Amino acid sequence: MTAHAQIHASTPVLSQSKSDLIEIRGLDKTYANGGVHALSHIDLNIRDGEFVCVVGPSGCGKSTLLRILAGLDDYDTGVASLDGKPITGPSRDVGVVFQAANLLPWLTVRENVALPLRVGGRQTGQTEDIDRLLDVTGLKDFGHRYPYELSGGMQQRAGICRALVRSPRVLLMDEPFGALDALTRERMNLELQRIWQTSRKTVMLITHSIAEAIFLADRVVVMSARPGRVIRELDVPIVRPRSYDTIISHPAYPALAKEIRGLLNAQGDE
Amino acid sequence: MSHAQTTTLNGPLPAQRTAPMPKAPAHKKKEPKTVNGALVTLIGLVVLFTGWALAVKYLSVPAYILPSPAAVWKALWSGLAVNPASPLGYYLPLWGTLKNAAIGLVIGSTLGLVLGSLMAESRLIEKLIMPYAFALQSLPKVAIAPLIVIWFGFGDGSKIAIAALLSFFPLLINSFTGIRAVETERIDLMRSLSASRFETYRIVKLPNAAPYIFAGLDMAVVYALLGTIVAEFLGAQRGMGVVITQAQAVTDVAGVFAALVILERWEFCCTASCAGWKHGSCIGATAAANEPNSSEQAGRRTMITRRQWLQASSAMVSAVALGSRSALAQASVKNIKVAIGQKTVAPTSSTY
Repeated sequence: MTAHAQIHASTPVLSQSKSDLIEIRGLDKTYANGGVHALSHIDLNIRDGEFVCVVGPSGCGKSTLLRILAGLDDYDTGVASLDGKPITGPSRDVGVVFQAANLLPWLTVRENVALPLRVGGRQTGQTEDIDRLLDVTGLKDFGHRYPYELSGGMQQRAGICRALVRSPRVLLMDEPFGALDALTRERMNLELQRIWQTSRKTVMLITHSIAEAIFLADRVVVMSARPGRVIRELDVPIVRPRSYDTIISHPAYPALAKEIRGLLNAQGDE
Repeated sequence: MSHAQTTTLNGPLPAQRTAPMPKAPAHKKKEPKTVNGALVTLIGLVVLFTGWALAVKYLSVPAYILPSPAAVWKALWSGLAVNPASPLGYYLPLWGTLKNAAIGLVIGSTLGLVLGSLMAESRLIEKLIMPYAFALQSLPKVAIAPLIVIWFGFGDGSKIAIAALLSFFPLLINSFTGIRAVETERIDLMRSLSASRFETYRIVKLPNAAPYIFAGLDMAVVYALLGTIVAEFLGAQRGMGVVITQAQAVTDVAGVFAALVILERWEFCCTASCAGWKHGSCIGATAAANEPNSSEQAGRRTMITRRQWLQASSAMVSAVALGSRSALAQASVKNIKVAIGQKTVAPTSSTY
C-alpha cells in the first residue's frame, strides 16, 4: 500500500495513465431466479484512460458484467473494484450509456442531459457544461426539442451527453449503437472516438460488431458463451485517429478480425 | 475528413422534417369526399327534433310521458332566464351540485393518487390494501349511498363523501397500474444516477403514469357528478338532483328533461376541456410514428410532454373554475351576497 503510494508520488502523471482504474478478480454471478450461471471467474483489468471493447456471443453475460460495474447488479464471489474501492452500488464516477438511448420522452433533450445534475441529492463534484457537451455532440440546436423529434443517432448522442454530464471517470456503454443502421453506426463510432480523444475517459463498450470493436478499442476482450469467461484479450495496435477507410486497409486488421471471429465461432454462437 | 462527415450528419435532418409532403398528383377517383361534420350534425339535430315534435303531436303522446321539444325549451328557459340568486332558477342548484362534486373529486382523486402510489411503491401496503380495494371495487358503490347519508346526514357532507368515494377508485387503480407499468430501463437509469426513491417517483414514475392517471381522472369527473346527483336523490336541500326529484314529484317531465339538458351540457364542457391534452399527446405520437429511426418511441402512443402536463392540469382547473363561475356569472356583487344569504335560509324543499 505504501509502496503503491510512493510510486504515485514520484511519477504522478505516468502512474495515473498506467494504473488500473477497474480491477475484476474471480468474479462469479448466478442469477437467483432461474439459477442462470451468468459469469464464471472473470478476471479483467482496465487502465485509466483505456478504451476496452467487450465482444461475446448473445447471452454470455456481457451486460451482466457491465451492470455489476455500474453498481446495478450484485455479484456472488470475487472482487470488482473501481479506483481501489470495491463496487457496492452506483457511483458518481461511473456514467452509463444504455442500449436504447433511454431518454425520458416528456423532457426536452437539454432537460434529459441535465437530469443527472437534478438527482442524487447532495453529491458534489465536477460537472460538465451542458452547452459545451451539446455542442461537441452536434446537438446544440436541438436542446429544446423532445426526444421523438430526433433521429436514433441523435437520441443516442444525447444519451452519451447525459452519461458525461457529471464528468465521470468511467463510461460504461451497453451496445449503444446496436439499434442504429450501419451507416449511422459508423458515423457514431467516429464521433465517439473524437469525444473519447478529447475527454480521455476510461471506456468499456459492449458490442456485437467485430468491426466496431476493432475500430474503437485499445483492447478487445472476447468472452465465452454462458457462463461468461474472458477467453482472450487482444491489443489493437492501430494508431489514432482511426477512420473506417484506413482501418480496413491496415495490415493488423484482417488478422485481428479473423482471430476474434474464430474465437466467437468456436463458442457455437446462437 | 472525418469531421466533415460528422458535421454533414447533423445538417439534413431538420430540413427533412420540415419539408412539406410532396403533393400527390391528382387522382380524383381515389380522393375521398370531404364531409362537413358540423353540417351533418346540424341536419341530424334538426331531423331528430322535428321527428320528436311531430311524434309528440300526431301520436298524441301525453306530456307526462314525453313532452314536446318546445315544452322542454320553455322549462329550460324558465330556469335560465331568472335572477341567478333566485332559488327557482338552475344557477343555485347547479352551483351547489358542482361545488360538492368538485370538492368530492379533489378529495377522492387526491386520496386515490396518494394511496395508489403508496401501493405501487410498497409491496407491504399493496398486500394490505389490495384485497379491500378489489372488494370495494366490485361493489356497486352507489349502493353504499344510503349508508353514507345515514353517516353524513342530508347536508353537503354526504354529497361530497359519495363523490369522493366514486372518484377515488379510478385514480387508485389507474395510478397503481400506471406506476407499476414503468419500464425497467428507466428505473435502471435513475438507479445508476443514485437517485433517491422519491426522486425516481417524481421524475420518472409519476410522469410515466400520467396517461393512466389522466384516464382515471376522466372517469372520476363523471363519477363525481354521478355520485352527487344520486346522493341528492336520496335527500338534499338543494342541487340539481333536487330539481329533478321535485319536477318528477309534480310530473313535470319537461322540467326533468330541462335539468338533464343542463347536466349533459356541463359534462360535455368538462369532457371538451379534457380533449385538449388528449389531442396534444396524439400529435406527439403521430410525429414519433413518422420518424423512421425512432420506432422504439413510436410505440409510446400515450406519452405526455411537460407542456401537455401543464395544459391538462390547467384544463382541469379551468373546468372547475368555469363551472363555479358560471353559477354566479350574471350576478352582481349584491346578488352574490343575496345568494349567499339565501343559501343559508334556503327552504327545506326535500320531500325525502
